[in-house]
Amino acid sequence: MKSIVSFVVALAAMAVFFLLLDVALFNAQGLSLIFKG
Amino acid sequence: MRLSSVVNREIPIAKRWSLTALFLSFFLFALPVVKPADFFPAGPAGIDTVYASEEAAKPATPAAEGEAKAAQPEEKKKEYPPAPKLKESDYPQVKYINGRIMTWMAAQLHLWFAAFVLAVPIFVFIIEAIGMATKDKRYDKLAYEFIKVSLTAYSITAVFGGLLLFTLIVFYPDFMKYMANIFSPTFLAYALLFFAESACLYIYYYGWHAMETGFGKWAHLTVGWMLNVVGTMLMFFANAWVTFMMSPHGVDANGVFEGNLWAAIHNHLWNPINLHRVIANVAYGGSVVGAYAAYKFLSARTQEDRAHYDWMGYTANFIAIAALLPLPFAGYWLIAEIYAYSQQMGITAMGGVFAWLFITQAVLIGALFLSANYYLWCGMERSKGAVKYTKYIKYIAFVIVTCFLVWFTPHTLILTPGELKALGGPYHKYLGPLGIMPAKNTAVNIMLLFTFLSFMLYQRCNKIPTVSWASIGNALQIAIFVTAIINIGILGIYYGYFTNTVYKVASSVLQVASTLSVIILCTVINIFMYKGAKEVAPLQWGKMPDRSQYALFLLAVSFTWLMGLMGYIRSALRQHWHVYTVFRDSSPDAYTPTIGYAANVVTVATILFMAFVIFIFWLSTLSGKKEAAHR
Repeated sequence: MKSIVSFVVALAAMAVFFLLLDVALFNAQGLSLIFKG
Repeated sequence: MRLSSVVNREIPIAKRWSLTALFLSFFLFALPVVKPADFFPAGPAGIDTVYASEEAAKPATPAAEGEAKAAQPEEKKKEYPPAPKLKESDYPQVKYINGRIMTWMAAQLHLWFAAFVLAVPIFVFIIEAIGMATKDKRYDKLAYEFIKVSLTAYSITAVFGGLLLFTLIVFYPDFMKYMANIFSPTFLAYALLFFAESACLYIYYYGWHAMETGFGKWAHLTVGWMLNVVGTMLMFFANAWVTFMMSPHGVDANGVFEGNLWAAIHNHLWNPINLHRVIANVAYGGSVVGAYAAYKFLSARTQEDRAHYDWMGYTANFIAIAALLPLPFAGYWLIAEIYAYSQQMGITAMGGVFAWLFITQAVLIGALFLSANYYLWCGMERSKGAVKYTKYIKYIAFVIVTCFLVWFTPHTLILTPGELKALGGPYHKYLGPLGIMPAKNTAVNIMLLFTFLSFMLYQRCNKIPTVSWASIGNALQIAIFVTAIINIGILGIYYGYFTNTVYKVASSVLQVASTLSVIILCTVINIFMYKGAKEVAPLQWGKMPDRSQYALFLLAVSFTWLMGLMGYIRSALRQHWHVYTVFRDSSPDAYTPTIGYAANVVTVATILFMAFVIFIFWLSTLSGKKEAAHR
């Protein structure tokens, strides 16, 4: 049970981490995360 | 009497430490802050990069030459001539010898050996330092054996370097004269650095046992550090010459040198090549010493020797994989900079005449990944605790093979009209989308992650963590892998196929960052989680199937062949130019050969190199026998 809870929490935390990483790296290249075709 | 004991007696401990700190701080801090520009005469302001143009290809006319000369300051005109406009008859011919093939072979063989002898001291230095820190004699013995292999290779490197120089002077005298006009100070510096490197290498090797303890060991390590600094500087000089030929800087459109040597050295592609070659050399050096260990493992007569060479092979494979993981990113940066410098050059490389060589490259890189992974999986047999992970190997193999297939799916095929009709167009309905970069970037990043996963499983199979939060650590690591793969997938599919090119290119940087994040975060977690871990049972070194050693041979051969083919692409991107857009190649061989022809030349060179390598291994065995008899 402890492992499953840890996994779900870690999954959410890492999703936020990668989202922020993507935003920062797109931003550094002059782009936004949301593509406006 | 040993040199180390003399040194230890005469120098008190405090003084010994301060001297050591002084040595290391000089090389760590002083060298990087020295600006090379300070040593070179400053040229006139406003040095323009010469971009792709056919201007320099136009035949020389007296009027054009007059205009060019009038545009130059009087002093420069006298000192630095424009790039010569040569005719076919200006290139000396030697009966029965093709100058281009001979130069190509000499350059290729020199480069392979140079890569090897520059890389080995890097990890020998690191292994020696680890041995010193852990006080484990095995590391010292291993490092010594690695450097012993590179010592013989060092002489052969110099021989091929000499051969290359002579072939260039004989077959391309005007080109060499032009390069010497610009780079002569670096030619001299190169020769002096070569002396320094030889001195460092001989002291490092022959002084190994004399400087084994105490301050002597620190001094020895410092010599190893100097050997690496000098070797790297040598390579950076050579890189400046080859990259100047690709992306000339510090010269005008007629090839007239502006007088600023630093500008010519620090051209557009210099740093990308520097980074790529340092990393690639380490991976390559690791693979060649891995082949040496495999050779010794297979010919070992005692269990003790098998155990030693098994461990050596494992360490060499670890070095090769550790450098192989970031290598695609350095390669990506290099090709991105080639595109940035000249789009024509970039398209020639990846979308034009050399595109199919990139497919060959993909196959060879796939072979590298598969053999490195296979070796790790076989290596699990050393541990009794591996049983719990072996069931996962088939899934990892499936993912890596799938990524490998995507990685080498070509975009365009050479088709007959009948095949074209049957296919319904030039691209396959389902496989066509896999031929472009977003699919390949996604595949290679996932392939890297799963190779790292193989390595993680190998590392932990013989350990039982003792920390209370081990289950949380495992959950965190799985979450890191899962989210990173989802992120890489979204970046590859959504931004790669449903947005414009700017996003497509930009998202590849994010994919790289995701992969690196996984490697860094999981390594940090592992370090803390396995601190004070218990062993399942002592690792059974030497208990490896013989077939695993052939994976090490495959690794070395694939690396060599790959370097030859990709090196050919890098050099051939200049097409009919000695110095791109500035100095035209008018020799009878100034054409791009077919891929089959180039591959044959590289293959013959690879076989020659391997023959030399086997000769070196054999020599090392002879000296080993002599040492054993002496003992």
